[in-house]
Amino acid sequence: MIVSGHKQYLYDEKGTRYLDMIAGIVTVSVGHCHPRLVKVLNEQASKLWHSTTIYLNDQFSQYAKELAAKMPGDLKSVYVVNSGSEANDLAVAMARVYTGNSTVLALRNGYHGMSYGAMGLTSLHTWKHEVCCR
Amino acid sequence: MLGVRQSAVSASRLARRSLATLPPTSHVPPKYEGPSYDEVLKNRKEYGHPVRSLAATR
Repeated sequence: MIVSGHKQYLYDEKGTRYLDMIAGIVTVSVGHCHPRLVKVLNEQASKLWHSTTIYLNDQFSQYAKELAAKMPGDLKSVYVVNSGSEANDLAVAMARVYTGNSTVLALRNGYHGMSYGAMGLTSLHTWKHEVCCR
Repeated sequence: MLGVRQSAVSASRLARRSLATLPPTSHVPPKYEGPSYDEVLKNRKEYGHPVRSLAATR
C-alpha cells in the first residue's frame, strides 16, 4: 500500500521506499510532492481553487506564456484540459477538423483514456466498457 | 538460453537486488497512522469499482 511520495520515491505504510518508474500513472513528470511545487500549490489553494478561461486569471495567462515559449514553431496557443483522456479527445477532434478524415489509428494494448471518445482508442479490456445503445 | 520460468526467476532476483541498491536519501517519510492494509483493501473491494481492484490481490 502506497501512502506517501517524495520526488522519485514512493513509500508504503511500513516506510519501505520504492523507485517510482511509472511516475504515478505517467502523471507526475516532476516527481511526487516536490517541495517547490508543494509551496506554490499551498499558496494557490489559499487564494483561488478554480479558475476558467471565461474570465481573466493572472496565473493561467502567465502559465500559457511560459509554456508557449517552450514550444517549437507556431505552437503558441494553449488549451488547458483536465486529463490525458480529454487531451486525446481534443487531439482527435482537431485532427478530424483539420484533415476532414475520421479514421484514427491507436496502438495495440495502448491506454488512451476512459472518456467516451478516448475509450474507443484504448485497447485494454480492463479499461473498456460495454456501452449499449437502446 | 533461459526458459520463461528461469527468466522470470532471474528477473525477480534482479528486482530484489536493485531495490537494495537505491541511493541514500535524507528524506524521512511521515509515519503512517491511517487504517490498516487489510481495512483499506476491504473498503476498496467493497466500494471501489472492480476494474480498479485488479492490482490488490495480496
